[in-house]
Amino acid sequence: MMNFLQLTEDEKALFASLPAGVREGWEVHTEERTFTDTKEHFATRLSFVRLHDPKLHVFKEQLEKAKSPEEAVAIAGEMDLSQVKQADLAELFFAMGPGPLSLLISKLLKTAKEDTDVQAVAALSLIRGSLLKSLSVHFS
Amino acid sequence: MESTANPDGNLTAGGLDGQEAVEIRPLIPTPERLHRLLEMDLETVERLYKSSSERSELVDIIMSQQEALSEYHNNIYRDEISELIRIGGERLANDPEVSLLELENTLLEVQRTLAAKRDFLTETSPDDIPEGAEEKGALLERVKESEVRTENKEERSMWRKAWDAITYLPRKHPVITALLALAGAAWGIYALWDYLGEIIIVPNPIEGAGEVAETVVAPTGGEFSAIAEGEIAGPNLGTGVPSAQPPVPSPNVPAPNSGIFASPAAPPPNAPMPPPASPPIKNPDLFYPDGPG
Repeated sequence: MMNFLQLTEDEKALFASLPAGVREGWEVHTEERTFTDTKEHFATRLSFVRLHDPKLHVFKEQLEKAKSPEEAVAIAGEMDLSQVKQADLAELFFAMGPGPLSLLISKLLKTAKEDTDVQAVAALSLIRGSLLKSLSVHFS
Repeated sequence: MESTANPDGNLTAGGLDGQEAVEIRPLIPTPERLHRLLEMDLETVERLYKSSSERSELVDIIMSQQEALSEYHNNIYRDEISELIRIGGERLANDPEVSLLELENTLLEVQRTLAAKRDFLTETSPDDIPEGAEEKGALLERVKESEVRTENKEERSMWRKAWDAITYLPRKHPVITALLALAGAAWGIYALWDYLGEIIIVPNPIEGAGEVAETVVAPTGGEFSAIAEGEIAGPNLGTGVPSAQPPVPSPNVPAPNSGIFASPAAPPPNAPMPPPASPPIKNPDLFYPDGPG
């Protein structure tokens, strides 16, 4: 059962400002872990991304053929992640790191209108928690 | 190997002579350390280390001592050791004057990244460790020792739900866009790079494409060449974040049969050597301005 959110104090305030109906049923935990990321850490993580899903490789081929950024953006806009292997998504989240995830969480909290929006926040906060744990264990 | 080695790779004949408990920690395989640990001639170690065709021989020698080395080091696994030696060898071949400290720092960064990634993937994708992955048994053993293992069915179910919540996000959702832009960057395709400007402050274009390329690919290589200004401008999402001139790398296609925990694919045949480690970041917060990250 995924009915909890792991939010920073700032994020908790954002969540508290949502309509009661949107907040209903969610348990809020405090995310206290931190990790100081750097350009070097990010670059290293990015360089170790390994993607295996055929759907992503089709996307890659399309992206390579794009003749302009606009075309690339259009290709990306057609892409969803359904059926993409979770291991590949995990690879990408690991490369992204917890900082950008926090920005995405804040962004989603500011615009959440229904339960599915909060579900996405819950998923992202869970992933961020795991990232913070893994990175802080090894980079402490 | 007759003698034992302490965690720094120093040999002590006949075993450890002290009474102190020895801390078990990762092996950071610099040539000097391997020379001492394996009792091999330094020149031979360096030759094997730097040679892409002979490097595996050195890994084989290390792995033949796995049991003994594992008494003091907790990362004596083929995938990790191969990767570390590849990175170190490329760094050394590319920059023979690199200091031992710099080489060690590069390897340490890579080792920690690999370890963190292994823990993260294991926790978040507990059902997705591919059957037949190299050293799966060893991997699972390492996971048992990890602080971040996924404990039980309930937790596994929670992760499945979390991933479902991500995979069913609608097209053009900012999370999807960011992930796709990252995938593109990992492949060396920077047409979507500006999307990351919303969440990751990209290097300032004033640094020049060469430096941007170094920053982005460090330290595992990949071919980059500067792109003519304006050729790919990328969308400007009005974030106020300066856009980098996207460097254009060669494709970085992973080996199709490598597992999620396997060593990354070999670099493209014409991949340059890894660049020097990035200089210390004076203010890392500039890159990750908010949140617990």
